[in-house]
Amino acid sequence: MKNVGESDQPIPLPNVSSSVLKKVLEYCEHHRGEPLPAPDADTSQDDTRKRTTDISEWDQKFITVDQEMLFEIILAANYLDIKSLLDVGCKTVANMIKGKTPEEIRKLFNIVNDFTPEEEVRLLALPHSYHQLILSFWHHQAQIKKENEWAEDR
Amino acid sequence: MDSNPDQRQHVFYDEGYNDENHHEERAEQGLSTPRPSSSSLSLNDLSFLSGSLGTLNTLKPSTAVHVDVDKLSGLECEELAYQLLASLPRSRLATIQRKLAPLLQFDVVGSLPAEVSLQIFSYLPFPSLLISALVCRRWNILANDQTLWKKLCDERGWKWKHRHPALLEEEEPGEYDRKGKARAQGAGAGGGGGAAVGGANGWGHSDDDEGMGDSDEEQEQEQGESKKKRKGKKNTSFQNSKLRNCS
Repeated sequence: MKNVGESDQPIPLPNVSSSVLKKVLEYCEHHRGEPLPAPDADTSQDDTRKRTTDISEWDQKFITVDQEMLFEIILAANYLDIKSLLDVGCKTVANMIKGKTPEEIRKLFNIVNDFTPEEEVRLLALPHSYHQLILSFWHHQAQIKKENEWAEDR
Repeated sequence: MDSNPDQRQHVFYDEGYNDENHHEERAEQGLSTPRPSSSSLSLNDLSFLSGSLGTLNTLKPSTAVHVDVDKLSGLECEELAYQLLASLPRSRLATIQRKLAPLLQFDVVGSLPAEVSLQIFSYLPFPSLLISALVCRRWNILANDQTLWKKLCDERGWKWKHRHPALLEEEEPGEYDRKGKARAQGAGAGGGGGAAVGGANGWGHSDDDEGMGDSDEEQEQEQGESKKKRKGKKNTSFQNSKLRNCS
């Protein structure tokens, strides 16, 4: 937000309610002065680091809100391009999903299962084929490794 | 509804309109302790009270004022509802809160823009991603997004192969045959180091940069285009292996 603040032009916030904006400002205030993440960080090799869903203690406390507020914070962070806040919001939702069954997820988010019974049967067979796909990827990888080693030996 | 009219008669009026979120929070937490304010409001003053609030009318018919709730602004409705809630004893508020809680749950992931939903899914390990695909149709489409799976593969150092034989249904058979032939030739030629890896392996190294190697987001829309590109590439790889074969 810092570089945006250089100009005197007002920033239109048609989609951000005052209570959400207050929350967003609270976040920015707390993280003021922290180095901004590199703009292309998400496309570089630090994907593994990025994937860890650790959230700092303060952020964890900050983001412990109802679903509506969480939703609006994520929307606002996306709209205002506050990457770190967007990350915190997305990680929080991901953590809500992790380790749950489809039925538990539906209950948590009040989602109606809109699959037909036939679709569901087909879908439940899918993870197996995914599994096979992953296995064959693994075989492929192992084979390349073996061949590379073989080539190096020679 | 409470049958004690006296209690409802004094509804504290909070002037803090700009503080509406505060109201909600207090109501949700079941704290029936409105901020004591100098300007307390009796039911008589609630000129915007609607006739549709029948229970209120029966309790205090003389003071009931008929106002159409539909004509109230969102903020006024909110304020009215809050004032009614704030007048209730804590136990009733708690009951209401429990009833309201499920109404506040909704499909956060599905309601967000797709790119944000995908970012959420990008933080999931693959078993959770598989599970997510079973939740509903919207989630199924999101969780099956190829960019997510490509990332998961990249993380493990797996080469992303767009055209897995199991997913080749859309490919014209003639083309596939040709490719197979090229592979066989490459395998035959495979004597020298790295070239052997590309050729001898059924999945051809030269294919790794295809398709998904392009910009991830555009890839869906550009599928047709990149298909053409791939075709071109394949021809060259075919020629390459031919050359290799000759030499």
